[in-house]
Amino acid sequence: MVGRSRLQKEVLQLYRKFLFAAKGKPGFEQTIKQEFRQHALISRSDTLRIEFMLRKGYKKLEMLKDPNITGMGHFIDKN
Amino acid sequence: MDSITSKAVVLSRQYMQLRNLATVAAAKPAAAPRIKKFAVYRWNPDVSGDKPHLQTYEVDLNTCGPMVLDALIKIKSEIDPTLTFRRSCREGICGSCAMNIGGCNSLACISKIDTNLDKPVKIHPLPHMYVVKDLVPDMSNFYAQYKSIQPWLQRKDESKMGQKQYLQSVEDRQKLDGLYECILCACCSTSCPSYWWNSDKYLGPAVLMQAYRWMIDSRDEATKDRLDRLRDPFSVFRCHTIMNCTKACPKGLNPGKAIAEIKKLLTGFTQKEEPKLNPVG
Repeated sequence: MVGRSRLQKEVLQLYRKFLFAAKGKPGFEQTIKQEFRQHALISRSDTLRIEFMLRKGYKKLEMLKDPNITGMGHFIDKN
Repeated sequence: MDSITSKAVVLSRQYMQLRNLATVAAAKPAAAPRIKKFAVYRWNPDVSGDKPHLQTYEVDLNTCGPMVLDALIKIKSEIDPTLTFRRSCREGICGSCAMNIGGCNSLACISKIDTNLDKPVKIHPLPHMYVVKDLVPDMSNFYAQYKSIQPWLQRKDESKMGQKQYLQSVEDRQKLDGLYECILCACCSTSCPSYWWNSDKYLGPAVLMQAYRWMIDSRDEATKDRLDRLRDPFSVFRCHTIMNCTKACPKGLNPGKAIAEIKKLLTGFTQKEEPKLNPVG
């Protein structure tokens, strides 16, 4: 996509920061990619929701950077 | 004797039955319902395309408690369970239910519902705060600012911390009255237009009042460091004595005055007095 908007650039920067922070910690990369792909379906015009997601993302990034967080597990719904 | 007492028992029983009939017949007639409208700010980020909007609910004031929080809980339990708001103590001491009611920041649990049925009650979240959902504001910036003033007692020699009480005279303790009662509800900070425009760098009245509370505590010895941390054009000096904070405080405290005292300490106009009683004496 040529000429990404400022908001799109911010989302991509957050994605890169997430992947960098998840290095050396097992199990995070897959969740990060899954969540970003899931929320990529939000329409471009819904800036209110995108900014809300960005703020949530920054808080989760701070949590991820904490050295005490070492891994992540999943509950899978068998049904 | 037996027949007289038995007759007396029968008569008294009949008398009691008549009395009961009378009270049942004289039961109060059902009062006319007093319907009050509540216009509540709603926004759900999980619903795509949702924009913030006002939703109106109707509550019969005869079946509801007197406070706005009672009405909100009644709406949530009986009309719309998706209404989201914070609440805890229901007595005005925890500060969870701080919201904008009829244009003024206050605690919902101690704000009486205006019984004038012609006008709706407008309920919004705290102004100029990011909204998590419906009436729930994002307080993380507020808490980070509170953390930054280091709200704990600091002494030069803390090797014997916890072994003995730090002594404080009665007059020194009276200096803290009106400062320690703050419940960190953020009503004052979110009523300050200066905090609306500079919430990233200006600390806001609530946090500044707590900074002052630790500065003038006679047992605290880090006053110079505390003042030096605030010596920049934004942390304190964005206050222009608008005094919305003192007007909004639900506990009746005076953050505006505390900020003025900080300014006096920062400019050297006043100095912190020596403690009247040596804390380790």
